[in-house]
Amino acid sequence: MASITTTPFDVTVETPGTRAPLVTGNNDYQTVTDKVCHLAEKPTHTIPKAYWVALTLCLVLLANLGICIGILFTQGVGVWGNMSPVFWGWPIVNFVFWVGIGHAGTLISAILFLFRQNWRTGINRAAEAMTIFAVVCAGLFPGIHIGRIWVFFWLFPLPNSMLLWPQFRSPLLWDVFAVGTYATVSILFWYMGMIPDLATFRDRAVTPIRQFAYGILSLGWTGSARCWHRYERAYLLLAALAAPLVLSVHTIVSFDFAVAQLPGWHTTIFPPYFVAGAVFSGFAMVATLLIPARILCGLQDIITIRHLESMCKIMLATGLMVGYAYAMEFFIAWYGGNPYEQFAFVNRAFGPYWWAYWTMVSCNVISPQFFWIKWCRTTPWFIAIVCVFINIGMWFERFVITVSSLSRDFLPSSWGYFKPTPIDWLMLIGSFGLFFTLFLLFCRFLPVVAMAEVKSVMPEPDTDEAHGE
Amino acid sequence: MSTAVEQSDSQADDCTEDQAVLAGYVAQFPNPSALKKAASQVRDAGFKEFDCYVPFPVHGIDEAMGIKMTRLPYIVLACAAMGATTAIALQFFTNAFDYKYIISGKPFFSLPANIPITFELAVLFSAFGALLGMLALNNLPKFYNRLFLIDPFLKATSNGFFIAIEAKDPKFHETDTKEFLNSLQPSEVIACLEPNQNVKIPKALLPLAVCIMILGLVPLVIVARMRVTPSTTPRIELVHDMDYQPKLKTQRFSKMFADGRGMRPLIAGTVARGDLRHDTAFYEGLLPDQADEVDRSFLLPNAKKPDGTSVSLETLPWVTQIPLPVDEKLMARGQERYNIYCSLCHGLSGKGDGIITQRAMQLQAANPGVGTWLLPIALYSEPVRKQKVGQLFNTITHGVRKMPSYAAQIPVEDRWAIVLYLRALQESGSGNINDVPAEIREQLNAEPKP
Repeated sequence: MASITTTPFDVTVETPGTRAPLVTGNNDYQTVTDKVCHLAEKPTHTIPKAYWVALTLCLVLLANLGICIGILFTQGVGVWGNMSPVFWGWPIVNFVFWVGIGHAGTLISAILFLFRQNWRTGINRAAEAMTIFAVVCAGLFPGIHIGRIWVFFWLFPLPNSMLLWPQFRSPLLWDVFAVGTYATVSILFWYMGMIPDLATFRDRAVTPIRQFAYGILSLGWTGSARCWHRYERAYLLLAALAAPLVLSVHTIVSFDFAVAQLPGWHTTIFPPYFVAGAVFSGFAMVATLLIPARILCGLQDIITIRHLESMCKIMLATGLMVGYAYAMEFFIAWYGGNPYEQFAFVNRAFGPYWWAYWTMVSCNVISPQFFWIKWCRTTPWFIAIVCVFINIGMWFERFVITVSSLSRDFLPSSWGYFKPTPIDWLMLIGSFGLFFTLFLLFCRFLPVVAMAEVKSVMPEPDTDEAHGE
Repeated sequence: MSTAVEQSDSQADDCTEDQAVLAGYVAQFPNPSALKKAASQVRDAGFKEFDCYVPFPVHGIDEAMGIKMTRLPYIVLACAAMGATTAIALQFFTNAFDYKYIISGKPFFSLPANIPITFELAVLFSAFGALLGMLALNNLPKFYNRLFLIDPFLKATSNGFFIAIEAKDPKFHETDTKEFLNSLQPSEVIACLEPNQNVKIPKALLPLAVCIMILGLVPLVIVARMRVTPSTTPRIELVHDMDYQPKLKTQRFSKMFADGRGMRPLIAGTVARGDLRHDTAFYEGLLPDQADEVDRSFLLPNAKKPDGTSVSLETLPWVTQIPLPVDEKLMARGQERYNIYCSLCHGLSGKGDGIITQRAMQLQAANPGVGTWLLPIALYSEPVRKQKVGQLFNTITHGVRKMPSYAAQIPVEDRWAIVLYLRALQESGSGNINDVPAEIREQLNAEPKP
């Protein structure tokens, strides 16, 4: 089979009338397959040391999370800093932070699919995996925040001896359904996308264990055109379903706040503002993960600088939306003439949590402005630094919203100052351990790039006909 | 082409050991365009049982092969409708019908508040419909496929493009079809053979499987057995919730105090709340100005003086007035309490013929010499009539002869109410017709209404 010969050139230059190739280098269908399977097929002793170092570090953090949860279960929720009036402390901040990050994957796989953005094919698998791992971290925090973890099933409408049912008009219950549905649909979407690539793994497998495991997981996929026809239809339907779902999930998470009557929470801008923030933080996390992962897995030709640049542009756009929302909140607080609302916002910026507010603004509004400059959008190490700042900023956004409003509620006599405990810190750090451990295992055992999808957007090898059209 | 045919022959030779049956031909093509062209020719030749195998969805292959639109969207639509209906029904049943929640005076059922869950469940159900529907229509999972036995075919998931025509197609012919496929300019044509060997599960595994299944039932049987067996041991509590708390209960030892007692004695000179019984008339029935001189041990039943003689209760300084406002309400209360606590022995009229007394006397008559029941004295008899209200109160409080103390059962106010009612019983029990007002005497002689 002939290969495409592309002279190395800058894929980030826009040439009118032509489209930059999505896959660079001398790659054909076979080399793309080889590159994607590279890390997963390596014998254990040839895996780069960096991988082992990273995995060990993440496992230590994960063990720390396990110990913290053990302490929490045996000692009770008093080990956290949650104290009157701030009963929603770091666990809820962490929940909203992680569930927000979990929005980029489905956005990339569903919404960009519906918009026919072909560049998504290089990054969608990793982004979907990241989504699921972020939702795992997100689901952990409300799960352990309920205090009596052993009756967690009271969250669900199950018949019980108390003859009680959950209250379906509460956003907290909507949240259970929204996050549960989102996690399930994301896993289905992710798994369905992986079936053809798992079949590739199966057919390339040399050891019986790999043949068996990938054989089971790929469900006997053959690549039959009749199967592909239904598969593509199912993928389109799932994308069409997941697109409104991804918007609904963070909307419902924002209802947890917006439906309450606390000044600073009770605002109609919350749903769009939360969704924009979620996409913003999600893309930042995808970029943070993919910049090292593309080097670790040797995927620079598939996840190109152009992909990173496109993500930077989305971060710039969503960062501006978030900045606009911050400004609009202040404007509405002034324009609405509600003195409590005005106090809440002045208190955010200049009250006891001023440091958190200004960390949030500088990380979320100022740091993405670098992406106006092309050098900043095309230099991986610089993108990584900005993305880390964006992630810090988005964590602080949730902290500011949750804690600054709760600590200054209607009764000045109950005002307080939230102080996190060491367990709060260790749990937050531990959740990153969980997230990165899962991602590293994913890189080692599952197809990191949607091979079939990348191949379908590659130009056809030298033939007498042009591809497709 | 000759090389391709030879290859396929050698392939066929490899598989004929078990007298394999020809299941079809597989032709490999170098690129998607060649495949598409060939696919449309296979379709035009009238084959039905054929398929293309490609590593990615090749654009235009559906038209080339003549694949009809799948009905998957309708399945997904049905699932979405099912999800939405389930959600609405669930919310209506739980919150508006089975367990009505009153939330800020809002209606029990209103669509806007139910939209989020309805949307989520519709998406959830249809996502399952899309994935499972796709798999079901594609006959997946199917872990055995004879195509997997052909080595070159394994490239179909990386960079190989194949057309397979199956032997069960009516137009299939062992040599003609091979010729036809060779005419489509493939890189090679391979005969696909169905190995004629019956792959069966080893027989030794059967008893093992049965054993595992039986062992798997053991826990269920134990659980079922335990559910129907009464047990005297406390139940196993995985989580104690707040059932067991570290606290001092009555009569428990405590290391915290020097004397080791968990229950603490009163501090000298203090009175517990509600224990101050300064008003002797109300609490003891004794006149306050003389109460200090009374030896309280004399108030108990069968009390003796230090010299051994019996105490004459009548001589103690009893109050003669009920120390509560006397009204009809107190009288009604007394009647109610009397009927509950006293009438069982003393009878509803105070005659001493309560049901317990009747039964006790029957038993004593049947078994002479057994039993110590004393017939209660009629409450309207002269000795009781003469007693002051304070003494009657004291009798209820401490008991008399065989009668035990009722202080634990009957609060102070109720004891006074009973005393008041007792006075009424004494009036009715010792009076005659002349005590009844003339205008209602007729009622006494009237027949009781049924």
